[in-house]
This record gives sequence, C-alpha cells and structure tokens, in this order.
Amino acid sequence: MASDSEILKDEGFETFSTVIANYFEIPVRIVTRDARLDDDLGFDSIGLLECVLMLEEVAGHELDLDALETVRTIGDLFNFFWQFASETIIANGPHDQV
Amino acid sequence: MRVVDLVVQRAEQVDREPAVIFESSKVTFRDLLALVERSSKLIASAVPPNGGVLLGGDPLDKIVGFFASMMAERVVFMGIGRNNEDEETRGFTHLFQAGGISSLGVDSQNWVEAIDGFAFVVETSGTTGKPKLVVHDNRSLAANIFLTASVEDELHGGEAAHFTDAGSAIQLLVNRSPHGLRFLSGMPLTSIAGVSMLMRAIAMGEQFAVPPSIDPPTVWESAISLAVSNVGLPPFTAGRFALFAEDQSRNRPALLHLGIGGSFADPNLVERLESGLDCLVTVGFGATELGGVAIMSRPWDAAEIRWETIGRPLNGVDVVLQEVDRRGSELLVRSPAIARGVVVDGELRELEEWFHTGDRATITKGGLLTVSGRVDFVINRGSHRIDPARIEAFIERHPLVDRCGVAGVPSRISGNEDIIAFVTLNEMASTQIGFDELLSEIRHDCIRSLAIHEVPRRVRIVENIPLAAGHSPDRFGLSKLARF
Repeated sequence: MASDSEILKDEGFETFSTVIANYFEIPVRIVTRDARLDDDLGFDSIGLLECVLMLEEVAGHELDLDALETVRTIGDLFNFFWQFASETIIANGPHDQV
Repeated sequence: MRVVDLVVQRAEQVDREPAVIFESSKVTFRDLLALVERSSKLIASAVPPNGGVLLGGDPLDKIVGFFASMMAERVVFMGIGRNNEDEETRGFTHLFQAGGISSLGVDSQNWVEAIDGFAFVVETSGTTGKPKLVVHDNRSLAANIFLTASVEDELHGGEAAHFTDAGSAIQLLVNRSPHGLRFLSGMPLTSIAGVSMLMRAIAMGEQFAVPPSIDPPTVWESAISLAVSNVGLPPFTAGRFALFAEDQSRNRPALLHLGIGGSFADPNLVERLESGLDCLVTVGFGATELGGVAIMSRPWDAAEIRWETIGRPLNGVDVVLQEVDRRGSELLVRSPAIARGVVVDGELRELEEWFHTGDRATITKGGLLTVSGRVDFVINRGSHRIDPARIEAFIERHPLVDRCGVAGVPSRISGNEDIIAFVTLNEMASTQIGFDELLSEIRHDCIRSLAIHEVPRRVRIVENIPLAAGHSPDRFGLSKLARF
C-alpha cells in the first residue's frame, strides 16, 4: 500500500506534468515520467533553462542549477523539483503566474 | 539586335511549330509573331514613350504583351499590384484597356522617363518582405538567355561562349538549333524566373506550355497532359511534386529535367524527386536583380552535387564570399544579366557591380557552392544562427501541410529567440486527423529529424502564411504574426 508521501508525490507529478504541458503548449499525455527532455519533448538547453526558471517561480525560490547536470527525463526533472519545492505548493497546484 | 528580334528570327525558322501551348490551343511561332506585331502597333500608338504598359488578361495576353512592349520599345510592368486598387494607390492611372493590355499614366513616376525605350519592370520582395521594383532591359535579358542557353551548349558537348554584349549574344543565339524541348513553368509569369523560362523557350525556338494556374496539382496535371519535357518549379511546388510522385495511384509526367529555384531547396527533396520521377533534378540560385538564375548544379553533375549544393556559377558569372562574422560569409555575385537598376524613392538607381545576395554560403575547392541561410532573418538561439527556410522546407514535407512559415520571437532567456512555426493545411487535413494531434505530430517529426535547437517551440495553424511577391515567405509579415 502506497504511503501518504508516495500518494502526495504521484498527485504532485500530475500537477507538475500539467504545468509543463500548459506552459510549453504540448499535450499532457506526452509529459510522462519516462519522456526524454530532448528526444521526446524537443527541449534544448535554452528550453530546459526556461523550464527551470518557470519552476523557480512555482517553487518561490531558486533551484540548484548544478543538479540539472543529471536531468535527462521528465521524471528526473520532477524529482529534482520535488527535492526543492515545498509539498504544499505542489499539492495546491500551480502558481497563478504560471 | 534586340531580344524580340530573336522571336522574329525564330518565327522565320520554325514557322508553324508550336510556340505557346495554353489550355487547348497551340499558338505557332508564325501566329505568335502576328499577335505580337499587332499589339506592338497598338501599344506604340496609344502609349507615349514616357508611359508604361501593365499586362493583364490571361497568360497568352501577358506573353503577347510582353514581347509586343519589347517591339514597341515601351516600359512593361509585370507583377505590380494584384488588382486595380493597388495600382491606384501607387499613383498609376489607367488610360485604356484593350486585349488584356492596360496603359498606365505614370506622371508621378519620374524614373520611367529616365528609361529610353524598352524595360521590363518586375516587383519583387525576395525574402525581405519589402516590395521593390527591379528594372531589366534588352542587355540584361539578352545576357540572361545567353547564360542559361550556355548550360545546354555545355550539355551537348560544346564550349560555352562568353557574353560580351547583348547584340553579339543575340547573334550567337540565332544560330543555335532548337532541341525539340517543351518547357513548363510553375513560377508565375510575373516573376523573373517565369519570364526567363518564357524568353529562353521562345527565343531558342522551343515550346512554352502554360498551366491554367500555378497551383501544384494543376502544374502536375499540366505537365502530364501537355507532355512537357522540362519543368521549372519553386521549392514549395517541387515539394508537392515529390509527394505526388510517391503516390502510386497517380500518373507521372515523363520529364527530362526538373529545375528548382526561387528559395531554399531541401537536399532530401532533390533526392526524392529524382527517385520518384526518374528524371534529372537540378537546383538553381539567383535573384530578380541578377536576372534569374546565376548559379546552378548541372544535369551532368554527380547526384551528391545536385542534392547537396547549388552547383557552380553559370559561364560568365563570378562569385566571391565576403566575411560577415566568424560564423560565415555572404555570397556576392557579378553577372552580365544584372538588372539595369532598382527604383528607390521614385528614382532609378544603378546596382553595384557585385550584387549582395544576403545569403550565407560556402565554397569548395572545386568551386561548388552551398547556401546555408540568410545573413539577415536568422533566428538566434544558444550559439546557433538558425535558417527558418530549412525548418519550413522540412515541415512542408508533411502530407497534410500546405505552406509553412517560421519566425523567431524573443525568448524568456535573454538574447535568444523561440521558434514559432505557422502552417496552413491542405484539403486532406480536416478529414484525416484532429488538429491537436496533427500539431503534435508535426512537432514530433521535427524532434526526430531536425537539430534539437531547430525544433519549433510552437506550431500553429493559420489561414494564410504571409507571402512576398515571389511566393516565398514574407519574413517581416511572419515576424509580426509571431509577435501578435
């Protein structure tokens, strides 16, 4: 049985993928955990940087860009974000300005 | 001798052979000359020497009017204004209309008075979206025919002669024998490319077939029904031809040679056309100011050369590369077919000897040129300068896309631009797939096949792509659309 934190994280991913899809105007169905940022979603380094800037606004604070080195998939990006963002923000949905 | 005198000579030589094939009628050289002479008298009597002739009517009217204006030694306007309102806003006043020919009052156009005799004025905007008038005369048009005919001389084992002056060039051309070719142009008769093919066909005693419209399916069907041997197409129409050729249910035209010119041609397109149509395909490079094609791959070149380069300068044309920045050089061309001038602020201004094409190019040791995009209208992203035409050419390969236009908009990441692609869809699109799914598919195709920095951030469906006079995308218009 999934723990509360796991359920919260799953719900958080749903919100996260919706935010990404809406922001970049791409179908939410392709923003899966396994989706590769470059080969599946077409994000180049500028796109990824923009994505991080947008997530910083959602999180309300700066993210550690060095940690981006290992980010390859949407799942990686979500884990990177989850590590820094408050659970409340994820659970309550995107920031108004997103 | 003038270019029109070549037509007179050909009428004597080939007399009852077809010159112009339009719809169900074949106009022989003799009949064409009779029509030209009659219209010439009409023009000479009705249009003052400082006036101009605006060609209207059907394609045959335009062809007759073009040569008749040459014969009457009057200025003839092609491709100016799409309707009467446009012409009125330019200060032109109609004096009369007869046989598809309109005379123009040009009191406010002082530059016309500076032209003594015949000139061919064509409106162009190239890729800049800024309309301008380019003025050609007997000298530049004779050189244009001479340069393109020299390719055939080379093809038939001869040595291409050098252009010295218009009179000598025409004398040499008179002695050339027709090869029994039938040309068809998918470029409008109002463009330099369309007129260039027309002049070359008629002046060389070959046949010129006119499709009812330059809509790609119509051009394709005309190429079959009129049994043409040579076709000249803009890249967009060539792209449609590639799709038609891959459709096993369609009949195919039996072509000897297909030439592509006008703007960027995707190497993959040349390969597909050669495979699908089983004919030689070459790519030409030129500009309205250069009198049409100035550089081209040759029919006898190896496939890789025809697919991947624009070939070499025509005999008599020179090129140099002028460094623009550390990323590359601009192609400069010197050609005997360069226009007499362009109209700037109501004045006719001569062009510089070396024409700045605005295109980035590279050249191999063997002299083969490759164009890699524009000096202007590139999209800056990361360390890359992206040519929108490359992306457009790729997206237009999609079977449901009609036209594509690509522009850059400022990115949220300072100093960069995001790529926005606009598409219009063809008639098959509405029945085959949902629009959201289609846009997603187009973008996914880009991800799979283009460099990652060339993938459009967004793809949007629009009713019309802003087009410049030559039917290539209007870069200013696209830029405005992207920022809207």
